[in-house]
Amino acid sequence: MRNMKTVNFDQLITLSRPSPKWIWNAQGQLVEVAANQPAYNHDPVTGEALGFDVEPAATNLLLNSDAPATQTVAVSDATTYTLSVYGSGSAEITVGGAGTATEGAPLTFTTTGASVEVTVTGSLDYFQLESGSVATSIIITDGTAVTREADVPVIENVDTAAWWGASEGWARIQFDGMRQVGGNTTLLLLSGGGVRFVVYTDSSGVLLSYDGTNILNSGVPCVDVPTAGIVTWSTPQDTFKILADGGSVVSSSYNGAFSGISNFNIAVDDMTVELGHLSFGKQYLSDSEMHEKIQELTQ
Amino acid sequence: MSQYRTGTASVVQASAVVSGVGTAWLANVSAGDSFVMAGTGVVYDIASVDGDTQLTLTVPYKGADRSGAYAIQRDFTADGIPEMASGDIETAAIFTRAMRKIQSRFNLITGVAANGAPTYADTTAGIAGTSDTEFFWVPDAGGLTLYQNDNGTAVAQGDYPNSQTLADAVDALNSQESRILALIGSLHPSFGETSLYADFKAQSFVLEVE
Repeated sequence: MRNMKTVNFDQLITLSRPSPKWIWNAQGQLVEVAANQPAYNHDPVTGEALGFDVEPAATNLLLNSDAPATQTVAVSDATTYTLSVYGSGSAEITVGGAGTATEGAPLTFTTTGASVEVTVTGSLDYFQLESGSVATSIIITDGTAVTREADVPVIENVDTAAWWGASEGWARIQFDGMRQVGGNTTLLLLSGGGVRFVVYTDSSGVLLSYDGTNILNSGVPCVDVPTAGIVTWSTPQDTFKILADGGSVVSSSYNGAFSGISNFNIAVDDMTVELGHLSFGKQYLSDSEMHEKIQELTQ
Repeated sequence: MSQYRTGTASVVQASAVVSGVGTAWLANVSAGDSFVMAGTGVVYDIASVDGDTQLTLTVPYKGADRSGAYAIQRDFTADGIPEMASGDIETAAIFTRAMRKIQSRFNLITGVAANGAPTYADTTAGIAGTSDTEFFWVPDAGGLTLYQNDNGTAVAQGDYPNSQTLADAVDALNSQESRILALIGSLHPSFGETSLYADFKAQSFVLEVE
């Protein structure tokens, strides 16, 4: 009989994030997670578990973030920024851009100068201004801007014989709330012998697969942002297949020589995502088996 | 409030019952107060006040039969440490008792109750070898049990398992875990085909090992 055992997160994944971060716990409280520790985020209203929170680095440019007051801060001209707030009031860009942010409705805008004025109206508990088109987790500031480092989850020292078959196997991932910061967004990456198997989307929400040189199935659109993906491979058969759900199931396959899997990464590139599930197996899957495993995660 | 010393009291060896003459204990004494016969230096705790002329100690009186002056200590801190007032008698015994109670609190605060406490073969030897409120260890096959001498009664404070007992407990837990995971595998064939399963929402991680 196979020998299975429960393990801790750090026996599975090495997480690097040199700075702490703030997330919502199951009781709807904002809590600080220590540096290099996984942040398991929750819906602040319902308490529903959202999964392992992975984010890029971000800097909150606004000072005294938990006592919001009107202020002017330096920015880069003609650049995308996002303003987010908590509380019953609002924050408006009155100089150097335009628009208003309220709780649950962040404002993404393009700067029109080297500084912006943020004007606070009503009662706010917290506000944040950061570069990019995504409002990331709360970064608390006092008299200076503060940077939260990126989450970099890595599986290393992998015992491939026990975890997955280097020459034959499958890997599956489930995620929510994927928000792209820039470029293509890689959710799942397996590589070896110069070939990369990836599940990712470009800025248009298109599922792509990649062999290290060529995009293999560019232009297969996801109806919605995908929430699950699976890859299976077989070295003896010189083939691999990718399947993802994106409102409708989309897939791609590749047939060509490769020498097996030797590295694995999740949630790389500049992106934010809540990882819900990750699993591996050691056998090559048929199309129907891939569909079945995707459905297990999305139904 | 000072000690209550009105009337006289009589005690009988091996009996927990104390009799009074000219005493009014119901109105002036409570369970939990301390009783001492004048000149003995041995303090007992009162289990109950049965009437104006009778009360019962928490343990039988150990000394010889005796009648005469007595004192009942009625003033304590919130943690049960005796307090003294002007005119009290048997103050040396009361002071020693207070110091021992304070020492026992210190021992508990430092995390290892009675660190450095002596070890005895059994509780009888432990009671004989320690004074009231002191701690002592008694070994058994699984480890050590910590006791406190409470007026001649050994009151267990907790068990401290040895390495073999801990190893046995870990083995038992691992065995149960293996059975549960095997059951999940049989109920969910997909899980049975999986060599690594990570549920980040439940913060649960399972691996296949050699």
